[in-house]
Amino acid sequence: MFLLIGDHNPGVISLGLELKERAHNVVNIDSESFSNEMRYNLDITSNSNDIKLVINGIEYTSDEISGVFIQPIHLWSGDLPEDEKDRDYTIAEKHSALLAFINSFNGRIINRYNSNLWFQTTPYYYDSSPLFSSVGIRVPEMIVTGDYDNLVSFLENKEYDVVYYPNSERIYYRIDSPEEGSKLRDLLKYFPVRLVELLEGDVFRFILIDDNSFTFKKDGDPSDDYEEVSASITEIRDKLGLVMCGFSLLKTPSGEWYGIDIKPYPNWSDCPDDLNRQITIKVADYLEGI
Amino acid sequence: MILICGVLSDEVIELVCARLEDMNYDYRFFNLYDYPENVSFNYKTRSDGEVNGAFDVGGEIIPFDDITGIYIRFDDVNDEKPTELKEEYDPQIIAERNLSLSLLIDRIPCVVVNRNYPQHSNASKPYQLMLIKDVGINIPKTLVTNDPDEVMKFYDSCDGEIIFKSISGVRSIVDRLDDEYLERLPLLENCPSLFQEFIPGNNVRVHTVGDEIFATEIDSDVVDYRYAVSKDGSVNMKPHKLPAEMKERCFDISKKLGLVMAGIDLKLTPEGEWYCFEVNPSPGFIYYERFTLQPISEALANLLKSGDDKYLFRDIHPTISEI
Repeated sequence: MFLLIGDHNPGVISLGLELKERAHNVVNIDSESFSNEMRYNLDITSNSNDIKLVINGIEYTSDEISGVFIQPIHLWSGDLPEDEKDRDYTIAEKHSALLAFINSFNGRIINRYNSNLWFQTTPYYYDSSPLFSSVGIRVPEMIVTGDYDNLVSFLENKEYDVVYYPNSERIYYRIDSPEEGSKLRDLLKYFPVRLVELLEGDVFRFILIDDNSFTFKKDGDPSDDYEEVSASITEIRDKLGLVMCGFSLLKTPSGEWYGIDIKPYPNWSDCPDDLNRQITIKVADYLEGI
Repeated sequence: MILICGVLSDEVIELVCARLEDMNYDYRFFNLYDYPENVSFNYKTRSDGEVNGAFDVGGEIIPFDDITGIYIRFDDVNDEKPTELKEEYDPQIIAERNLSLSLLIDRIPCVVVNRNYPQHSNASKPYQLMLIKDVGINIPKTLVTNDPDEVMKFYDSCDGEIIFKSISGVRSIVDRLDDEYLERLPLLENCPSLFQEFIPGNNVRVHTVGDEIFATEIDSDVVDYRYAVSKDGSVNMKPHKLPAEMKERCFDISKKLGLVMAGIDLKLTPEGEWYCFEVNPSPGFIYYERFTLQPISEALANLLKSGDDKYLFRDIHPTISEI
């Protein structure tokens, strides 16, 4: 049996179909099934980890689970108490149980969890620039400041081609004029802000799975223009202890690569159709041990 | 220069500041209640990843490369003063403040006790238990479940000697599963919990501080000795001499978790077997130092002053920048 953990994600759905085509039993755990209807037990001793899941009345044990694919973000959101304190506690407990489940499987998993990946289980922004820098990939210039003069100086220096990233959300705001910049002034009373320069160039997406690498431009064109950075991003993937990892990099008109984003649990549904299919096949192959 | 980040209502922060004063070590206090109004930071990252920046502590500018060590605790900061904005904005403002500092703490190239992301192993006790057993330390039989029937099976298999506690890093009082709690087991369907076999013997709390190690043996008649007073119980502590192999394992798990300082909860059974329950990434060591006068804060002060590169653990902290 293959266990797919994630909420109605197109990647999870296509992987499920692929594994079913290969005549495997596929069980999906989404927020709804990870709620009160499902029974889960994790036995940990000094010598073993044993899992027993009861989903829709059917019992599955560790020995029956051949491989696991997981997209953990927001998975614990189903069936929560109304009281805020109870709700926060329940979320923390379900989330913590899930992290343990991810790591307790003995078979093939995309991907195991480790503490470096904490940001993947939160809605928070993550600054991936130190990881890119650690392997020699350039990063857009960034400033984190609580000082308005510093902020304006950075905006002027970058000619208002700048993005503001809040830390507590996965969104960003384009700052392209002095008027937009002045709106940040009020925020500085409460917290420092992060501004990142916006660079000109083509954005490339990379998806690494085991020994395979897939690349395409953000506008959908496939590309094999990646060999200069392939080894470096593989090194980051390995530092994070992952089988599968997604990256966004920008190539400037002068041919310099800049690291933009790292996705330890990537969604590949927006890839061009032929790549989408190839990635799904490689993920299924890895889980099967092919 | 040493930087202490926290609030003075946190007794551990107060103790560390007092110890640094006592040892005449140069330090500044980054009071989180004054952040970002009177204490803050500014930094730039160049395209090659090099970081240039400084802390601003009450108008004094302290460049990052003047700092040998940072000690940080967010523990008592939750009841931060509200802003004049609508109350609904406060959680986001607190998150922005704390995350800005946390992201800097994860990358600044000096000794940090402790960085942000290694602390996340403690956010899931069973996940951390799996890491603990990887370094060869025994762990108690543990069950994580939302199924009352499974708890009863576990209870019977442990002869009714089990305890329960939270799965996450949310603090909970550890207690035995007695008849009163057994009646409440159906509530488990709403939220999972963690159950463990009760291990007899004395608790031993170990603090690793860089290359130093302090073990404290706790003799108490209460399961969770931290709450002995409120449960009309007794607690006594004395320094404990750890066997060399156990010392090694404690350093191993601290390093594996990326923690320069760790509070490790062990138990020594009457048969001489060691078990580990948990590793605390932000230990409240004042409780043990007060009882035993073990020089834990002194070791911490020396660690922060040393600025020694070997405590950066660059091999397991991939996010540390160059200055």
